[in-house]
Amino acid sequence: MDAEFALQLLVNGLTIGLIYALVASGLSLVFGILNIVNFAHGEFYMLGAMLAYFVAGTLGMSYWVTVVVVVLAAGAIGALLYDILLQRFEGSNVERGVLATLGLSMVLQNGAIFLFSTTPRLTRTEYSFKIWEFAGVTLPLTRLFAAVLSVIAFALTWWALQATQTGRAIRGVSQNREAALMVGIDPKRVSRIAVAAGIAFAGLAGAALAPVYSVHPTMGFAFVFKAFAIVIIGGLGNFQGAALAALLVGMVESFVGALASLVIADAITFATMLLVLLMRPEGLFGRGVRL
Amino acid sequence: MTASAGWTIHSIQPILRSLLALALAALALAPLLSANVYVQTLGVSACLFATMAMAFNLVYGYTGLLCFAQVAFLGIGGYTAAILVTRLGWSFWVAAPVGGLLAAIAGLVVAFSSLRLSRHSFGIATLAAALLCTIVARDWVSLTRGSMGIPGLPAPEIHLGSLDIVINNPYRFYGLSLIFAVGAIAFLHRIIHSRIGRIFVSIRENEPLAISQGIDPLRYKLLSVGLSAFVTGLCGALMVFNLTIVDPSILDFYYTETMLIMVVIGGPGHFWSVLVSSLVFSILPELLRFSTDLRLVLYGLLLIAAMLVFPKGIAGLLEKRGTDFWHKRLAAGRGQVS
Amino acid sequence: MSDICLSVRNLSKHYRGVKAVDGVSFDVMRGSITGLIGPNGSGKSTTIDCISGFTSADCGEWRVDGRVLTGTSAHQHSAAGLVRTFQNVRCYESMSVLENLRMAVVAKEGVGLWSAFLGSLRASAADEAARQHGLELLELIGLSAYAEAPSSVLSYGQRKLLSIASTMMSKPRLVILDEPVAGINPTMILRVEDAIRKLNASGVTILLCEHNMDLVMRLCDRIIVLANGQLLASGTVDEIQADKNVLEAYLGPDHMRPTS
Repeated sequence: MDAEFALQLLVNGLTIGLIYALVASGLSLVFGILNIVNFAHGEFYMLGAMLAYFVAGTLGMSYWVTVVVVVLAAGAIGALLYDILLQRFEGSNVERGVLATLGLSMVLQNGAIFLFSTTPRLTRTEYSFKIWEFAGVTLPLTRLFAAVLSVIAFALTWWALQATQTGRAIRGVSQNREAALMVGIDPKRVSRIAVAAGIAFAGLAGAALAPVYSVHPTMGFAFVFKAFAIVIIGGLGNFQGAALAALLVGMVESFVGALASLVIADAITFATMLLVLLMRPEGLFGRGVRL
Repeated sequence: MTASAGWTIHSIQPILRSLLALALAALALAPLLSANVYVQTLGVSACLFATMAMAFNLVYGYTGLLCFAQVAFLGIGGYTAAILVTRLGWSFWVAAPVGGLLAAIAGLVVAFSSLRLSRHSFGIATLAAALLCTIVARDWVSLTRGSMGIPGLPAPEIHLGSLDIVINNPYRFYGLSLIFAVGAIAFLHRIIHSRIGRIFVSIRENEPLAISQGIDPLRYKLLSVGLSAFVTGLCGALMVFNLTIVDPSILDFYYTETMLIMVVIGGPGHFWSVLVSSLVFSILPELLRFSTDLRLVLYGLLLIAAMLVFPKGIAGLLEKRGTDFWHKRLAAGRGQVS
Repeated sequence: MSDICLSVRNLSKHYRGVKAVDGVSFDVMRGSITGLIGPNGSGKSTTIDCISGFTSADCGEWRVDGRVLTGTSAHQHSAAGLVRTFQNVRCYESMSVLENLRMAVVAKEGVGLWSAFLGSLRASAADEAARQHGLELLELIGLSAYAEAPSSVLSYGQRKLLSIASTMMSKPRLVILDEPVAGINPTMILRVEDAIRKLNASGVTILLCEHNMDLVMRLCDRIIVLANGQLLASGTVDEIQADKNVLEAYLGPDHMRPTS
């Protein structure tokens, strides 16, 4: 393997890893704050991509407008999701939250199949088929933007968690709900914002990948499984752990996918997850580095 | 457990029981008396779904383990039996139990690796196991022939002395499925109402208390998953030999979702109500001819509604009436009873 | 056999650098009701969690009737005759009161798959014996009217009674009662006290971890006092009541001042 090819694979892995990180850390955010594994998380990624397809493709909006519209819509849906559904399962047993979000996933996914059929659609934007070339590495612009958007989202979130009142409140609630209540944090407001952010992440991932991959109703299903694996490998509820694990999975997929096959890459991801469960149940990166 | 629903209707309970038994018997006989192939095929599917739902009920309803790997057990049972029969020329009657056994072993491995952790991890690990099986079925082409599947599975044959039966039509296959379902469900009934069944419930209800009474929870959780996987694996073997083909669609998440809805609506941890709901959910949607997507949308809505309004299913609603009855009775008798 | 039922030696448990229990040793005499008391945060709960196997101790050794239980898991403690109750009272809510009692002895019957499946005759004999025993116990604690009721209808205090009756079912060597009267009304406290005496009278040694001093003073033969994770004092009720260190630990040095 020559250096250029390796560099290309590295860049590809980084790009896809960043997007995985977006979905996985959204999942992790919701879990950290509500202690609910959101089984419908992948469907919001799918909805984000669908919406991007309509806004960019059907309405003909520009790439950046599409991204902003999708993120705002996903955030609003996230807030609604919390108010209408998730809020009622806070503090109830694990299975109720899992089954309710699984039910939601069934409704969204099969509803989308019913309305749009399973035909894959390609989203055309003004950047489609444009390529960025640097040091012998070629990268489609849409991929590059996906990676950049992901980095921006992470930087913003990181800043918000560290520097803003709400961000600190989110960290407080996810570390110790009772203590947060005692210092006067309104847990409902904080949870709503966190869920909205988590869903917005999923929507952003969908919008960013819509021009890269094809859009279809079952795309969220396969994607969220990978996100589950990533969250387990990184440590449940561990925000940075999930992001790191996502980058690892992206790399594995890029290198193993190119040198062997994507199937083997998937198998490695899931086998790693089972191994992590077996050997290091607290996740590769432990519980030390929490939100 | 099932008796607990009966306090309000204590006096008529035996009558209800016999009515239920009669209805089940009539339902079971219908495909045998009917010459309609559609009815017989529906009968086979109802038998298998009822058995799968009861096996899932054992692990989720009674033991409290939300196991998403049931569909993997189904697939492992189906593929193992199919491969053993077509490649190695084994008899169906040996290959099917081996398929069940392999499913049980897979269940034990997954459960052992994830049970020591949180209940979230158990759910996710079992889900991943199911997905891993899909990958194997679709992409390990040299073993499973990939998405083409393994077609042309031979009909199971019975040779008993001068008796030769080839189970090669829906009528005969319904007979086989019925015998299997009755046997498997009776087996599960026996387990559930034995001391082991009560230990399962005690672990679900209050694990620390069970431990303080000398019960080793891991051992019994593994037992529950293993038994459930074995029965589900057998269902898988029967299912693929009924279809005469096994392909990756046997690992479709649809089966998981259907088992879930049957158990959740019936009332996890209840026997007869889950049996009835499994029959309702295998027969009714067929009769109403819903498309699969629409059916799953409705199932999803039903699942959400159940979690919001009646998380313990129909049986849970009945049981609550029973509890209310005791509250009233105890309040009335508070004078005499201290 | 000696007269010592439970012996604990040098028990320690640290949580993130905080010494919850620090080198505690004590003995519980066979047939006694021994009180385990101490202010909040003194390490009582950690101590009983450790010696019942629910928390792993950092170091130390404990035996019941000479049998070392250190390092075995919680369910094995129970099998060895050390049974505990819980402060936040626990019962199997979907089961009837009698079934709850039945569960206390199921594990002791050695439930294998085949014994449960094939030995149905034997099981029903065991069921019948347990039922009779359970009914007797319910009579004893005054819950007979509830025998067939689902245990979810019981009040908090009644559940505490039920949990004591459950420990009687399995005829253990030692019972650790974790705050058996916390949060229940005075009438019910008397009934629980009565149940504890009956449990003790049936030959069971009791380690009573409790905040209600009146109850402890009435019931206990000997008392062990913990403070800040260490053994502060142990002795008879009179000795403990006269112990200055104990008074100080409970009331703080302030009570020595004439004004208070």
